[in-house]
Amino acid sequence: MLRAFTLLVIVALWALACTPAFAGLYHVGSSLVCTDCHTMHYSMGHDYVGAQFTLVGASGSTVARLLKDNPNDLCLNCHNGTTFSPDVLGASANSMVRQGGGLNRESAPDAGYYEWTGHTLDSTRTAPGGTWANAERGLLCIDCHAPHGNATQYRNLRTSAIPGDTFDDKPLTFAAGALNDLSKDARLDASTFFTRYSTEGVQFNEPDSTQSAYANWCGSCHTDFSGSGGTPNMGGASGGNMGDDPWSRHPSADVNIGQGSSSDLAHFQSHTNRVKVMSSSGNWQSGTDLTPSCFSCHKAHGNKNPFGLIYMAGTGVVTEEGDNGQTMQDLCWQCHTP
Amino acid sequence: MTLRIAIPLVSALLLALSGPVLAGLAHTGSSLVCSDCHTMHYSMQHSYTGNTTNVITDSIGPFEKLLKASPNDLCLACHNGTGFAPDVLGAPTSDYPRQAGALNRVTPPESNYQTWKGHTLGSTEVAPGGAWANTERGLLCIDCHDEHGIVTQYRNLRTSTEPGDRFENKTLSFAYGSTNNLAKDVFLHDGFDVAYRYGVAGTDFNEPDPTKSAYGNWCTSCHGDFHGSGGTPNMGGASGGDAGNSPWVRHPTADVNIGQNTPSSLVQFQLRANRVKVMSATGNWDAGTDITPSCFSCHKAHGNRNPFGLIYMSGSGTVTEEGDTGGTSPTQLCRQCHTQ
Repeated sequence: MLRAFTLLVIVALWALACTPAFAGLYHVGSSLVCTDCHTMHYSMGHDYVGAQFTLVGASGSTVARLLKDNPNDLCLNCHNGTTFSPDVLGASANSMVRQGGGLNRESAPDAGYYEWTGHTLDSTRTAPGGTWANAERGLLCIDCHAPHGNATQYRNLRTSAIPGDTFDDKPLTFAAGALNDLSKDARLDASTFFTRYSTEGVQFNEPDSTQSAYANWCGSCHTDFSGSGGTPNMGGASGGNMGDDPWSRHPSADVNIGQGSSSDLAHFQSHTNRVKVMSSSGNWQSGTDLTPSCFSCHKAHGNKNPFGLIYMAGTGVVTEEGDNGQTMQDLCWQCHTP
Repeated sequence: MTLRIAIPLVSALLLALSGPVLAGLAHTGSSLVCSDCHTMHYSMQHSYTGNTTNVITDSIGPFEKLLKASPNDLCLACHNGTGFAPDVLGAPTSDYPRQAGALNRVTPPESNYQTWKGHTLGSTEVAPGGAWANTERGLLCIDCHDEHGIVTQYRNLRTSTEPGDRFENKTLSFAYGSTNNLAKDVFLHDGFDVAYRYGVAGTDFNEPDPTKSAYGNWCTSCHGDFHGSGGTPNMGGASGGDAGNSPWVRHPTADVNIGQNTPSSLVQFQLRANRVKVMSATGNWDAGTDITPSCFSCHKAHGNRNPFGLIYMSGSGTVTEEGDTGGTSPTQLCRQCHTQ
């Protein structure tokens, strides 16, 4: 395990150094390195520079698809407790405030990160609001992220052209670079490792003001939680219209803050710290087209709050849990007036 | 379903009730807890502390406005049959007489609390003396109480600044603490005990304007004909009494003191050991000469086990929600103030 880890560190560092600045994500194009994850014979006696190497992962034996370890353990070899790649499980080994927050895990709980505070690796439970579950193996990193990457997808999140697939037609595009592209769903400041994965470097566009590609993607498993206004699972109406057609689930698209709803744009913009929102004009600070979506309230991976909620009161230092906020009300009151 | 909703709300409400002293009521300020009533996706698998007994597993919802249940069911999850919040439906679960008494409902009916004994949840009937009805959904708790609270309003009762709104300018202010404020309409005596805060013993009524009753004015939002100053067509009478020349055509709810140019007797009233609630401009409800009856003097706001929610208070015995243990008829209520 330790040797496998050492090798992966070297390979990953090499790959990061060689990757073009424009590549906002790893595991795509030239940074898709077969030997990061695969071994041909499960018998490596030395690494690629001749150093002694013992290939023993958590599995202790060969793994399907020639993997060096079980999928989650393999991912976590680089993505847990390291500083050269995003740390995605529990507390972060990096100083950044992670946009995705921290996962938790049933078999190896991390203090403060419980099953009820975010996505749970190895969990066989059914996704809330839907029917999907990995009943056989429990939740895997690669249930959401394409292991071989997808150059056009934010965070290598899965999408598929196969009818009936969980991720059938779930594009979640991104622009990485100095300039934003409002036709893409997310914008990554890819200039540094930290900005690439931290809250400060990620913003969300809104190419279609009636849709959220992000929520649509989450809807792959959490089916009932997203949709346009007026759909049976959401209630409401396009553009808000709270009076005649009240929403029955909180909208994740199709209504701007302050637009025909009980929310208040001026109130939202009065906060120093604000949750992430979509903007079709890319004007997240003072735009009038701001729309909340899943990421506004939840960390994608989770955090130390129930449901991975972001308790952001609006003041204090921004953390993965929010800021000075202590309760769910602090989150509600980002957009709604007390 | 009620139990499912009640479990998480218990902890939330207990937390809310432990709020600042000034917060005389829940559902306002720091005790306005979004997650008491709302759920974002109607899919909670656990509580905010990870307790898995708090789950939404049914397919009844989701409900409009992201509520955890239909409005009345949601309110009653905490406000019926629990010990931590005022029990407002049917028989009490606590041993103190509730100032507001008890509601009844259409479905399912409450034993001894029939629809003719008070306000009826789910009723589509028109409010007596007025034209208002909730014909679509039946009477809801939130038809009267503001679900998001109004820190200045007694019992979070609705008021509005919107012209034409039923509750336009229906202020019903209150003072809360150990010191009364005669400029407020109601004095809620200081007390952390729910029984005191919501019971008969802890509630008194001021009279900032001796010609008006803010309480009566509030009730008239629906029961339009039952309240007004002396001399108005719907009330008759005259300011300050005047029973002879301008007899009242409806019982006054303001603008005339007990014993003031009316067939009532202040001495008679003050003789009683048990007395119905009255307004006083000086805050001297026991021995004042400025005592004025209003709606709450005769009726429990929610109702009780007497017809019309009347308070049969004979003046002796133990005070109950129906009056006192000596009271058995409406005549005894009349004779609180009247000698014949």
